[in-house]
Order: sequence, then structure tokens, then C-alpha cells
Amino acid sequence: MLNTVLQTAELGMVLTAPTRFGKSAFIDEIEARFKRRKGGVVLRSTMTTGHAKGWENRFYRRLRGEEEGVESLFPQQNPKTALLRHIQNECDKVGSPVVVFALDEAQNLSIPQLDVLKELSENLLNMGHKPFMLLVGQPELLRLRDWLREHLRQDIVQRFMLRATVLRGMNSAADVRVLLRHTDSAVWPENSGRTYTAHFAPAAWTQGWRIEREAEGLWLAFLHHATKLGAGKSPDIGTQFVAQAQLALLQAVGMDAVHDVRRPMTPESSKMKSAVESSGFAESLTLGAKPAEPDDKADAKATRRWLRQTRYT
Amino acid sequence: MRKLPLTWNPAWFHHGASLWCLAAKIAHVATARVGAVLGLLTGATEQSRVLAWAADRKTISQVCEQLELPDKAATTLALRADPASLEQRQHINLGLRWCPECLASWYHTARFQDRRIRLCPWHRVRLRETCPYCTRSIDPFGRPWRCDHCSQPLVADPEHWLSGFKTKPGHDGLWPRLVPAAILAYEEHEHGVLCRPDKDGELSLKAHGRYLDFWQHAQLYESASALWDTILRDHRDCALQEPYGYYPHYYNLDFACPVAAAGRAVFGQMALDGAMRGAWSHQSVVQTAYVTLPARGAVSLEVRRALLRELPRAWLADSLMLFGEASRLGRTSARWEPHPAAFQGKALIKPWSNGSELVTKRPASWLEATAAFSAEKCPNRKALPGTWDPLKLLLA
Repeated sequence: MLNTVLQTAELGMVLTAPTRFGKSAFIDEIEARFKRRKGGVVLRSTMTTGHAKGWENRFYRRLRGEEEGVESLFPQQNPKTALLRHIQNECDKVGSPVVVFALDEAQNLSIPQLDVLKELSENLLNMGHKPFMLLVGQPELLRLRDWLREHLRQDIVQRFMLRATVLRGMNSAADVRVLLRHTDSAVWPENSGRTYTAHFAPAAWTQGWRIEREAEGLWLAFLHHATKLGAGKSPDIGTQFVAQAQLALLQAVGMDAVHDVRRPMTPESSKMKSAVESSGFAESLTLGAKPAEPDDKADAKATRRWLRQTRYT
Repeated sequence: MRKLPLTWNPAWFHHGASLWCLAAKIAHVATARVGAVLGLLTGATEQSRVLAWAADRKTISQVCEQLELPDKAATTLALRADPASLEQRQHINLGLRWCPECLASWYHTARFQDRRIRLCPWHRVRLRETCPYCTRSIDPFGRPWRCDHCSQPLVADPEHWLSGFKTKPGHDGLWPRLVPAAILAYEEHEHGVLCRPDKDGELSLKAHGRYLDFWQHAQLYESASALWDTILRDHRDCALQEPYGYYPHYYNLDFACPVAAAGRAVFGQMALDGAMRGAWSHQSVVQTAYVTLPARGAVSLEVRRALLRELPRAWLADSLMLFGEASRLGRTSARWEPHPAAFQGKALIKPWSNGSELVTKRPASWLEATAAFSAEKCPNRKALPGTWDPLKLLLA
């Protein structure tokens, strides 16, 4: 899809997803593909809040991909010029005018920062480059877009935020199967000749067990868990939660010397349950949730008990 | 290895190019000072500027790895000299020396920093060592291809740097295996420095009414830096710990470390206090040093250079003896003043065959022994081997 957007005259797009849905992995993949195919330059950065003195210079350096604290080690007179020259050089090296700014945590972007991005894209267009702002962030980023519309900043919306895409998680057993199949075939550790599954559960692997078989059970276990926590009957589950559960499952099978490899595990099995529980999925749903309603009766009882204990007789 | 925040293109490297040459290109793109780039690449600081020209092999191989340079680059990025040995360090010029023809194509080789080289072997052009506008020496840690004092560019502004940096310099960058005698300025001789005749030496500097004042001061600065990097290296921290004062020739100098005090006293007389801290100096030569030097036009430029290298050494040796003796007598305060007998420039020059002149010099080992004698009472003195007896060496 990004390819299609890059063909058009659009200068940016918004990509949102909740935490641990694989946004960073997505940017990694884009970066790797551009590098492999020499289709352009990807400048990756993570946006942070704060507008201390000299933020503009720091922002340009952050856009270049510099880490926090490099400013004092390597002072620059004009970070904007340095960024533009860096882009010129990198584009020259790959022989492509395309430069993609992959801005992670873009919900933290402020209006002045968006203005800087606008100016920067204009500068790059004048230099014959094709800039593209990939704003990746939490779903709140869409609210920022709405806010900009309401406050008559259509110029920014039309430039970078016209197109918005939501990164979906896993929402069927088939999705989970694709991930687990990859675990059965991907080599780990590198150049070892063993697969991920064989590395973590060698005994079960030699007996013919493949984690792909557990896809249905794992998906149902997540589904049960989500229903129990009130997340709806067809939730999107972040890829990283599934990956975490899969790793826990592999470790559990690896440690179980008498694991029954003949039948797939049921969603209610202890291994499945603990794998789903250790994935962090539940915490993501309950964290910051409204605390439980106070139980008036229990409270009254506790007060009476306290009064009894402290009564002076 | 941590990835450095440097914009770089391996196509900017041309055979024989110096580390400074690469750092200047990186600094231009990053709108930074060359020193900042060299600091990231080699760990060079203002107090160890010499690392820009003579970094050790390990550092150079790390730089090659960072910048994805070919293996052969490691042999040419820096001079093969030990910056801690005065015998080798004395030939390395800290200030930039360049061939205007080479620099026009953004090329510079570390060999140009060797003071023994007078001409560019490829263009046969005299190497420049001062700003063509203000005649000050060029700080290699300053802005790329620009004089830090007058801000004038040394070459045209690199408007088309993207293609310009990749353009080859017009020669193969191979340094001649046997350096022709015609391009040499001086040679080391058993008893001193054999300076080749150099009629148009001063003419090459003439860009400012006081060109010789600035050039002479730059030479003294080079000599002082070489001494701080070698003989006085272990006492640089002692000198930095001492409270900063006025030139000490007005009153006695209180001291804890006699070697540091000797250094401060001598270089204070020459207005070179900043040399120990690594601060670049743009001043002109001071009267105290000037009176001991031959008049303008009396000697060739290379002879003058040799004398300016010898002057701080002679004064330092004198001062080291004075402070060393004072400390041995239990004194913590002493005063040193330049004595006419400590340095007599004209007496050191001897005519040689083919119009050359020999400038007598004191061996570095003698200076080392003097420093060791004086360092006896230094509170931060490093333990020396039991057989080491500087007094015996001095008497010998």
C-alpha cells in the first residue's frame, strides 16, 4: 500500500495501532525493504514531547535519526542544513529521490513540529527530492487529525494526514497459524540450521510436534481470555502478544519432558492458559481501567468492625 | 561498535587522503567543526590535536571500519610517527599545511604535515601553512577549509559538494617512494638540522604587513605544543592544576611541580600559556622572543624555523634546571627570566656546502634528562626505574 501511496503526489500518511501491534516491526520492515531494493532513504525517528529552548535544532537532529544526548558530543552550527545535506548524500548513494521520514510515536507531534515538517518537505521538493512523512502512532493520532481540522489547519492535514490506515492485529486462527508456521521454519540461532521450535522444544520437535498445530487452540485461548475481560467477541489481538504467548508455549513444551505430542492442546489446558496470561494481553486491557465499584455493604461492615475495635470502654 | 552520527560516503575517499581530509568533508556536510568530527573518530581533543595527524594503528583501523574504507587506507590516513617521542613529533606540524592545487579538489594528505616537505610532489607547488589573507596558522580543528581568525575561505566554497567530493584529485595519490631532494625543506643531521637554501621563503608568506610576526609566533606555538606533547606530557595535568596567573616574569612563581612551573614560566614569556591547554593562538611573536632572533631577511625561512624550534627548548632546559634546583633546596617559589646566554641564535648557524646552513640543536635525550632531573620533587611524579639517574645522564 505504501508503494501505491508513494506513486501518488501525497506527501504523507497516518498509520495507527495500539501498543504492541507491531508498529515498530512494521517500520523495521519498511526500512529493510528500502535498503534492500534501494528504493529510497528511510529516516527513522521517535517523537517525544517537550519544547525546551532550542527544540527546533534538536527536532532536526532527531529527524536525522540521532539518539538523545548526541548534541553535546557533536555540536552542529545549523542542524537543518546538516539534515538536508545528509538526505542529499543518502539519496545520492542509493540513486533515488525518495526519502521517507518514519516518525514513530507521532501522536506526540506538536503543531510547531508539524509546521517544521511542512517546511522541510517544501525544501526537499524544491531540491528535487520526493519526501514522504509516515506518521506512525497510537490511535490518539487520529484525534490529533480531527483537532487540526477543527482548528483550521487543513494545510497540515492535507499534506500529511489525508490518508489514515489502522494496523490490524490478529483476528482469526488463520492469522495465528501464519505466525506459528513461520516459527516452525525460521532458523534460530542464526546459521545454526535449527528452527525456532527445534531450539526451544527439541524433544517434542524430534517426535514430530509442530507449533503450527496449536494455532486453533491458541487463538481460542486468546478469545476466551478477551471475552472474560470484556474485550468483545472478535477482538484484534496485537501481534506481539501472540508472539509472546507463542514463546511461552514453546518454553513450556520444551520443559515438559512428557508432553503429549499426539494431540493439539486445548484452549483450557494449563500451558495455553499460562501462555496467554504471560503475554501481557490482559494487562493491556485492564491497565488504566476504571477501578471496581466499591461494595457498600462490605464497606459498612468494615467500618463497624473498626469502630468495635477502637471503642473505648 | 556504536554507530556514529556522521554523514559519510565511501566515494569521498581518494587514495592517500588524510584523516583530516575526510573529517573536513564530514564536518562541512554536518555544519560542524572538524575537531568535533575528529573527536568522534579518534578521540582527539584540543590537548591532543596531534592525534589528527598521527593517530595510532588501532584507532585508524577503527576509523577504516566505521567509514567502510579499503584496507590500504589505513597506511595513509595518518603519519607513521610516535607522537610521544620528541624526535618524531618535532617534524609534525599541528597547523594545517596544504597544497592549494590539491585543496581545490578537496584533497589533503597527512604527508603535507611533515615539516620536512616543502613542495607538493604532484603539483610542485609550495605548501601553504598560513592563511592567505591574515597570515595566521590554520587550526585543523576549526571550520573546514576556513581560517578561524579571519573567517576567509582557503578554497572556493564547496557549492557543488555532492559531486565535488567524489571527483578525483587529478593524481593517483601515491607518495613517491624516494622523496626528491628538491621538495625537501630540511634534513636531520648528526649535529643539527641541515636547512636547504630557500630564497623565496618569506615571499610565500607575504600577505599581511606583519606576516613574519604571526608566522614566527605560530612556529613557537608548534614547538611549545611538541614539548607539551612529549617531554612535559606527564606534567600537563600539574600545570593545569596550578592557578592561572599573569606572565610570571614580574614576580616569583609559586609552584608544587617544578616541571610544570618551568613550562609555565617559559611559555608565559612567549605568550604561549594556552599551548598547555590546547588553545589555538593567533598572536604575533612577543618582544622577549624577538630580540633573540635574527633580523628580518638576515636568514632564510627554514633556518628561522629551526631557530624557533630551538629557542623554546633552550629556554625550557634553562628553566627546568632552575626550578629543579629550587625544589631540591626545598623552595616552593622561584623566578626564571630569559637569559641571553640561554639562547644565542646566530651562534647556532653554520654555513654548509651547496648554500645550505646547519643549525645546531640539542638532542631530545638531553632535554628528557633535564626534565627528569627537575621532576624529582613533582608530587605526581611517576615511579621511575631504580637505575634511572638523570643527574648521571646530564653530566654525561
